Amino acid sequence: MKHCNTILFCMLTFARAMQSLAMPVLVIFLTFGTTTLQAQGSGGPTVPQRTRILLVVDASRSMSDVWGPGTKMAAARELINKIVDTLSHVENVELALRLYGHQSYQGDYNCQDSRLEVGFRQGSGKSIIAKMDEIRPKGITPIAYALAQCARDFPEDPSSRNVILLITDGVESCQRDPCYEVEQLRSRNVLLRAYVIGLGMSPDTHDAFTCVGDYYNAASRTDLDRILGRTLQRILSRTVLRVELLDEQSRPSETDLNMSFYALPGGKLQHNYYHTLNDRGQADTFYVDPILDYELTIHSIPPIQISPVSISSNELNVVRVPAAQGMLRLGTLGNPFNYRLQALIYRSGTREILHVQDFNTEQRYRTGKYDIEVLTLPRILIRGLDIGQDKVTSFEIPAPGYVTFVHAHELIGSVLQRKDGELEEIYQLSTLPRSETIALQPGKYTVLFRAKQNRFMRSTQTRDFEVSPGSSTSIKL
Amino acid sequence: MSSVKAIGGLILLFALFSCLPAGLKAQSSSLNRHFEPESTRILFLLDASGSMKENWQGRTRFEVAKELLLGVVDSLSRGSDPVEFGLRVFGHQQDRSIKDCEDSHLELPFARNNSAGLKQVLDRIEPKGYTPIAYSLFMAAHDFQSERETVNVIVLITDGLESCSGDPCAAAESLRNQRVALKPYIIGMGLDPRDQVSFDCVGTYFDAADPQAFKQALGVVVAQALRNTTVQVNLLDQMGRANETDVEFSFNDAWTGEALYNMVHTHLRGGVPDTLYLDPAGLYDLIVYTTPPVSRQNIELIAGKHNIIAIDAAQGELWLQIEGNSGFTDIKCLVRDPASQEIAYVQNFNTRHRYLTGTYNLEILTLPRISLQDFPILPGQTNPLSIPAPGKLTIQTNEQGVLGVFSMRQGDLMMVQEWLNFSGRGEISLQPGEYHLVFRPSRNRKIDQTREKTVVVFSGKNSSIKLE
Repeated sequence: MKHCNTILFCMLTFARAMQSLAMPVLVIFLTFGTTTLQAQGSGGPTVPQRTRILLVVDASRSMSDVWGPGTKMAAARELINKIVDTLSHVENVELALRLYGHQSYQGDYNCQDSRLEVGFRQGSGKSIIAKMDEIRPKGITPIAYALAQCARDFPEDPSSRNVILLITDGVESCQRDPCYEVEQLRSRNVLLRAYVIGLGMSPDTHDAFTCVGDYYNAASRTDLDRILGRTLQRILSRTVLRVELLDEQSRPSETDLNMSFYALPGGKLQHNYYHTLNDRGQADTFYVDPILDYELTIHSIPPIQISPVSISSNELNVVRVPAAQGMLRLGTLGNPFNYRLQALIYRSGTREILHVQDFNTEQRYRTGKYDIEVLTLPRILIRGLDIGQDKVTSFEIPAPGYVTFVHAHELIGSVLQRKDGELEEIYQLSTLPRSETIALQPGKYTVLFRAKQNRFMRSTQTRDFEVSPGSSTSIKL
Repeated sequence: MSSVKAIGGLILLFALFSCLPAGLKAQSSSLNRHFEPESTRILFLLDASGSMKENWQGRTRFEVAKELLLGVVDSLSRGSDPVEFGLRVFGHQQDRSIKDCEDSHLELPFARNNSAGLKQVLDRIEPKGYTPIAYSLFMAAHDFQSERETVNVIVLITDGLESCSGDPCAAAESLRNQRVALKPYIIGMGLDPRDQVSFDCVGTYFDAADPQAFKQALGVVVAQALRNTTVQVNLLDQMGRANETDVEFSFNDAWTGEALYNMVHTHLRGGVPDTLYLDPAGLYDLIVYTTPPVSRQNIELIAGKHNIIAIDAAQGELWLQIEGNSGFTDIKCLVRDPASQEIAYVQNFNTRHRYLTGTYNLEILTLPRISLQDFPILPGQTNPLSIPAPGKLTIQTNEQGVLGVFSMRQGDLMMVQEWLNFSGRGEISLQPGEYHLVFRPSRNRKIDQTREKTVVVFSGKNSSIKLE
């Protein structure tokens, strides 16, 4: 098989290749096939992305210990034979082999004993098998050093999915931190994910490897096939994800929201889709790379963040997110404003702006309470406005009156709002001689002013006036 | 016939009202108040209780008081000061044994040139009764009733303490609450020093141990009452100098909150703040309409003195500018007080506005919004802030669908604007930068039909993008 034209076709090829593996793998695989068909219904074919798997294999002295019918090294050889055999039929996958502990004897305590024995290229499988046959375990276990070297083993290719598969029977022996090295690789975008297969390790090594990658310890040789099957599947399968946006009754009826998927760790944007309900009325699915975890941002107002979203391989993954929404309409009683009027939509009880909505428009928000501040003169502040589901919440304010202040001379003055005799400044008039029109909410006002060149406070003048909705007047100062 | 006329009148009135510009009845303001008292009115509250008959260096206390009072009134009536006197006497109508706690009467209402009348009244009076000081103070409120603007002063002349259960302090406070009269002046005739302190809350106490001291005290009190009370508001800059000006301010009634005097602050030539006249019989709150406003509560004026009220009002100007000649002016900046998070002012771009010095949180309502935390406004200078002019992006499509415009901030997409039903052509003004347009046609309901386009918007330039 040289080329796969569709994802389904590739999967069948892959399935045939996997038949050499043990039964449990096949069971999982069938499930996978079903999912694929489902995804096919909505998604259509996609081109599998180039995947590079770096096999990092332990060849330290302890690998020659007896484990089951043979040595651990024999088990590792068999494992790698199966990997090569399986993947040689899969398009777009390249393998490389790095060993450690195979050059110096244990007594030399060589903490830099690691070498890329077979580099990435098409058809490297034969060389890898030959190399595995050739080497004899002898040294110590410089895992961290080996991982640090991996950075240069992957060719520079931002489109490649780079994976490390570490096969080891022991923990770090050189007082360095393998987790740190893997973190470095990830943060430099060299590596997407690492998998660790332990060969008969004691259970207390668990913590040492979970930070390196997905860690599976084979207690016996019979475990190995199962672990390998699961791991390869994880690396090579394409799974689908459905995000169900739930309304307040937990029905997946919400839609048309943008969803951004960022890879974890690293935060690189991987997918960006507008949610939709397909012809069956279900949330439409899309392919996701199962070797990644995701941080999901749903761009509702306010946005929803979910982290991590973990994908399990070979399954239809469903993420259910409460995202009930309602519509807010901002309008005026009577004639609309003849200028742009904005309202600040705050998270209730705070002054954190979630959105700035223009008047005479509608906007969706998540259901709940909001504080709203309208940039009228004077401003209008409403606390705890409830936006409910399945309806349009209307918020209307009185139409303003328009007042034109005409002044022929430079002046200093302000418009103040009058409330029970108390004054509050709401707008400062321009100093320059001009006519200035402002829209004021219905109410009582006072304009307080003094000609700029007049140096006596007694020349301060005030005019009281009242504004009614829709009125239009001018005041000579 | 007459009822028909009345109806006609009503209709006429209605028509007149209709002629007024709709919604606005501009009028010369009642708030445009300038205190220019026509005259000063002094009400003497004279004690004529039994104890006033006691000997005070050869004569009775009452005789001493009578003589000196007549002397003062006589000399002032000849002067040019616009001054009126009134006389309320207490304890003179009922004998002490009757314990009349309402024995108080306005014997001489206010009038100009009434020294002859005063003599007649005083000659008739014989001290005999109780000392209902509080009651007399309460009653004094009615004595002052007048349409005219006057400075009202009470001078209480007594030789004893309240003998009824009234509270003179409460009575005096009530007068001030109603802005009827100044804090009373009290002249105590031979009072025990221990009793003098009980008048501290009533008003300004003058001790007259003997007739000579009484004469002096009376002279001082009357002279003070006749002097103008002036106020100078010093708006202090960051160095504590009275350099700030050109700000509106109000003197509010401290009890009702009503704005009584409203001014635009000014400096006279030479940089001295202009002086204003205030009714000294009030308790005031000063509110200076800086942004945000500053205020001082419960200001008491000293009558007959030049009162300086200083308040910190160091300001700096914020000048918001849009770079380039773009024609965009409709951009607002929210200026928030960082402590309360409330909006202090909404300032339009291409304008200047003064703020109290300090730091503010600014939110500029561009797309996307620009937030500036702790933006400093430095005193006495213009603090410029300019933003690049937005660019106009025209988006076109011949499909219909949901469209979002996103900006990338630190690797995260932020929604800038969204259209649930976009079709045809739309325009959006965006700050310069790179944007991601995400569009999904509504026609085929497939999530992977979501399309993404990246567009760069340049300041002050038009750009357009097709979603096909």
